[in-house]
Amino acid sequence: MTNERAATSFLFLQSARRSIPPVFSRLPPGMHVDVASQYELDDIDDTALHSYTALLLTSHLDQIHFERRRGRIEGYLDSGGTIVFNGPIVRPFLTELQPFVPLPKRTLETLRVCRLASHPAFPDIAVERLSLRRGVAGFWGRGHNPPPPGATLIHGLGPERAPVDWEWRRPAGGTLLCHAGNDIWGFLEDEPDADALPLGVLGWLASMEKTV
Amino acid sequence: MRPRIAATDCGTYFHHESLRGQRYAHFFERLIYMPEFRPEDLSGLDALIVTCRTNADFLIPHRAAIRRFLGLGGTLVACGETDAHLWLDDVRWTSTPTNYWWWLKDKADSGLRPAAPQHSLFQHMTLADATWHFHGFFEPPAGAQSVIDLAGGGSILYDDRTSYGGRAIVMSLDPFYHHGSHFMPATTRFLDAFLPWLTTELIAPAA
Repeated sequence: MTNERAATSFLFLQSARRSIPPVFSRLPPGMHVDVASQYELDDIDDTALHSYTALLLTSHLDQIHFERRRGRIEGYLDSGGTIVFNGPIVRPFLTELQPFVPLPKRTLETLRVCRLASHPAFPDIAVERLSLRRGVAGFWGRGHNPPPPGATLIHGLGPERAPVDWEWRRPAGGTLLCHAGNDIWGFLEDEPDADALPLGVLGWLASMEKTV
Repeated sequence: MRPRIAATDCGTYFHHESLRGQRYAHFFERLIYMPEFRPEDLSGLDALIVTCRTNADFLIPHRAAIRRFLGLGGTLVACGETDAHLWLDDVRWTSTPTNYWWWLKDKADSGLRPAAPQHSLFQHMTLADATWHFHGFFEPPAGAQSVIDLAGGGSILYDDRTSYGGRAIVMSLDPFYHHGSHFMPATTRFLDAFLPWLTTELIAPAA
């Protein structure tokens, strides 16, 4: 079953009392982001929820609230949707997920990001830019969320290649892109090409046909 | 007697790690999950810590209850990025852009100064333990004591024992956020010192 639409619509679930990532107001034609508080999720019926190509989350997610909506999250994924998760998982919202594992030691070496597989969500970003910002390591991630079996590992940290980023095609339907660090949406916010990273992710999402 | 300290919990990963993790969980009698916060949650408490990045929208409707808690002699700690000026009377706040990079320069100066070196907090920590970055500054009410000042004016941590009946410690530092993010070791040193200091003060306040 495919879900056809005129424009690709995303739902950004806002969790903190903060501004919306500026990139969402600078999207290319054919992309649209709706914004809702995560506490408004219960007011969005399944038909409306399932019409979104992806749910975009922030690392400020109230994971107590989100985990309590496991049935709705599974239903959304069953419909073929994608969830982009940022930050450490501390309350697994799917059976297959496990809590975040911090790096045992945080040094320049263990925090260095390496690319484990080329991935269309990160087309134009040199991995060195994820490792260091103004020579400082650690912004991209300080550990990993354990990937379910079958996940595609995208980026790793340090010599152990702790999988800080991965994509998982859920056998029962849907996709999870999991990034265990600071929000992708604003990661390069003070740089001239600030939008390149989030637009890479959104472009990949838009290219995926929503199927079950 | 062990003081009864509650902390606000917004369900984020950093609240989870800082409040429920083994390092600090024993300090808290109660964690208050803020979407379900009720004024009754404050009853019987000696102190409430409004932890970093607690959404002010959960506190604004309960401004009067917080004031009552203080009026009954309670201690309130308002951490950074909680917009305390929106839910606590007499807080005068100026937001500033955050400079995360100041320490990369030669002879770097954070701008922080001990405003009250004799304050009991400094028996538990040094200024270096409170030094990472800040998100703005306060103008403390008359009668409040600034503990840490900014070189250019304003306070980033003050102790107010005169405005409310109880005691308010207001800061623009965000240690629970960064400790819970496994980032910035000074924030862990800060909490290692601050939580025992708070416990001590609740049992026997320094003069």
